Amino acid sequence: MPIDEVQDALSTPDVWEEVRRSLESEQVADALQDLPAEQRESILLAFFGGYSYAEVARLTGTPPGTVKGRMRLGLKKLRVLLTDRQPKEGR
Amino acid sequence: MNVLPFDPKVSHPLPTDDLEELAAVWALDAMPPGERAAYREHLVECSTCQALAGDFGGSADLIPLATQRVQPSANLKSRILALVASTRPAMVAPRPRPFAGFWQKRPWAAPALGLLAVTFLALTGILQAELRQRNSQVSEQEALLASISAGASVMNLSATGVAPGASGALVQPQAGNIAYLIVKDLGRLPSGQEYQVWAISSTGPTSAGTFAPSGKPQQILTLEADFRGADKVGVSIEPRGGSPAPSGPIVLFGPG
Repeated sequence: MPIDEVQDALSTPDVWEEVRRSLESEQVADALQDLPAEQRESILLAFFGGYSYAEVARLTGTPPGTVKGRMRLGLKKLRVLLTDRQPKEGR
Repeated sequence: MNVLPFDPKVSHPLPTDDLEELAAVWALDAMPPGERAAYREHLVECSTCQALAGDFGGSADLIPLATQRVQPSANLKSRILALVASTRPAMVAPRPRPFAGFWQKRPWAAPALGLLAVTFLALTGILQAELRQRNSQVSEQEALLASISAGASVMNLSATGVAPGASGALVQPQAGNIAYLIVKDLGRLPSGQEYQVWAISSTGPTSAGTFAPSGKPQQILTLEADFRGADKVGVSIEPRGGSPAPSGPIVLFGPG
C-alpha cells in the first residue's frame, strides 16, 4: 500500500462508520464525561488543543509515558462506553 | 535517527500495551513530527499496528460528535463551532493536522539556538511563556467545550456598523457564575479605550467586565458574570477601566 494511502485506509474502517452513523452527539459527550478526569484531559488537550503527548506531559506535570497510557486507556474506555450504549438490534 | 523504540521496518506479530499506546497517540495526532513520520513508515510494514491504529482512530474520530449538541439552534451551533474551530488545527479530522507547534512557527529559532547559548535561554523563556499562554487558552477551550456539551445556552452576537466583519457568541453554562465570550475580528483600540461587555435585561445594562483586544483574530474570554437573566448582550467601546453604563459605540449586539 502506498504510504500516502495508509492514513486514509486506517481512518475510515467500516465498523466505525456504522457506529458513527448510529451515535448521537449526546452519547459521545456523555461518554467523554464518564472518562476519568486525567484521561479526558489528556485526550482533549491533544485532540482539541493540538498538543503532542510530550507537550501534554509538560503542561500537566505528568511523565510522558503516563500521558500515553492515559490516551490509550481513555480511547479504549471511550470505545467500550460507546459500544455499550449502542441500541441492540431487536430491543 | 529512529525515534521509535523498535525498528520501523519490523512487523509485530501481536499487539502489546506499548503498541496500543503508540496507536492511541497516533490516533489523537499527538506524536511529535519526527515520531509521527517514523510511525507512519512503520504502519506500511506492520499489519498489527495498522489494525491498532485503525481501531484507536475509529474511537478518536467519534470525539467531534460530542461538540454537536449546542442548543438552542443548529445555526448558532454552526456559528460558535466555526468560531472555536478557527483556532484549532484539526477539529473534525485530527490526522494529519498541520503541526502548530513552536518550531514550525519559528523556523529561524533552531539555527539561532545552535549559535548562541544566550539565545537558547531567551527562547526557553519564550517557550515557557507560550506554553503557559497556550495552556490557559486550551483550558478555556476545554471548559467551553464542556459547557457546550453540557447544554449551555448560546447567544449569538452580530456586528454593528462600528465594527463590520466582527462577530461573537456568548456561552452561558447551566451552572456557575462564569460565562464565555468568543469574539472574532474585533479591531484594535486607541490607547485609553477598552471593550466592555454588558448583560442587558429589562432592568437595564449591567457591566460584565472589560477587555482589551489581543490583536489575534479570535479571543475567548472568561467572564465572571451571570447572563442567565439577560435578554441581550452587548459589547461597547468605553474608556479604559469601563463605564457605569454604556456610553460609547456598540460594536457587538445580540441575539438579533
